[in-house]
Amino acid sequence: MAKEYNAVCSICGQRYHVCNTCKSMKTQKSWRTVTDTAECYKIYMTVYGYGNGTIPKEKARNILNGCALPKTFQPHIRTIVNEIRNPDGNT
Amino acid sequence: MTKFNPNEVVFEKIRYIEEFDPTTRQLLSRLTNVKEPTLNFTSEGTPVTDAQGAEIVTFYNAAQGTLSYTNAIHSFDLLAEQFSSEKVVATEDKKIVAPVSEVLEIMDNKVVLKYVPVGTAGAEIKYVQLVNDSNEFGETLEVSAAAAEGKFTIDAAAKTLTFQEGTTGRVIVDYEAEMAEAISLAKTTDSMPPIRTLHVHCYFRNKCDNNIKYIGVITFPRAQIDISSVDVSLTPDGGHAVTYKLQKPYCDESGKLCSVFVYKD
Ligand SMILES: [Zn+2]
Repeated sequence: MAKEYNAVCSICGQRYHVCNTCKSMKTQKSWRTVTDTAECYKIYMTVYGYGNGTIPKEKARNILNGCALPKTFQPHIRTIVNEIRNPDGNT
Repeated sequence: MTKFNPNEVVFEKIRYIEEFDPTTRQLLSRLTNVKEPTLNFTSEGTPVTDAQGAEIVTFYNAAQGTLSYTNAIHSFDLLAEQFSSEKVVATEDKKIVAPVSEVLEIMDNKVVLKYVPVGTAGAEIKYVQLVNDSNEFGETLEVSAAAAEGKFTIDAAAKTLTFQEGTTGRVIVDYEAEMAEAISLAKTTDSMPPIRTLHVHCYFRNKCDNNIKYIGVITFPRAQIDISSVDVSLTPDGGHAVTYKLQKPYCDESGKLCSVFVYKD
């Protein structure tokens, strides 16, 4: 049976399928509640940490440079990713 | 000394019903609010007839019994047996994750939860639901790594959700949290209720002299909770009904379904 898309990645905006009752969701792949890929979840945690001040801008930029960034971003995420990657910006 | 040999006695009440592990004799539970106990036995009768079909004698065998009662107070130990599962008791080291639902007023774009939510780091709560003053559903907000229209961010350790500037009203927050003081039970679709040894302790009174009290103990060596139909009454005065199927001890030649003991108090 084809799996319907029932979720939208909160980083890249891609639609994907998630099943919250599956066993794998409750153990190793719980990030799939918010993102479609582990890579997007890494970006999620970086933007999240940058936003609440637990990850400094320099460190956040290094993490993002080590990520395979998706082609698309949700607009409000795009703004912050650009802000982190801009070395001349303040904060 | 005259022999103690009562026949007719007045049944006063059940003191309690004790449950033991049949092999270890460990006391597992004691129910003290037992009402409406009934004991029922059935046997299969095989009539022996003469040539004309007239009954000469009937042999009875395969005796079976059931014990039913209602515990006036809801019992989680009893329910665990009816669920054929263990009652899990939380400790500081082994907390239980339980569902929580709160309706909170948004103050300064934030709400503070009662418990620390657990789940995917940074996204412990996926959705919240805005409600208006008439309790009607409004917008569903989704967790995000950064604030935006229709989104909220979460700081689980601080039990705080932060909303987009200008978000007001009340919000329904459903989440899961770890509890150190909690119990949990679960009923699965296929499970086998355990066999227990039951002791039903009762009081009797002498029919002529009410001051003379007797203690009665009815023992059931092998009783299994009947889970073919379990009705759990979710009302304050409903009580907790239970039925046990009585079985004879498997390796015991004498095959006692139950025994009755009466002695002076
Ligand atoms: Zn993605």
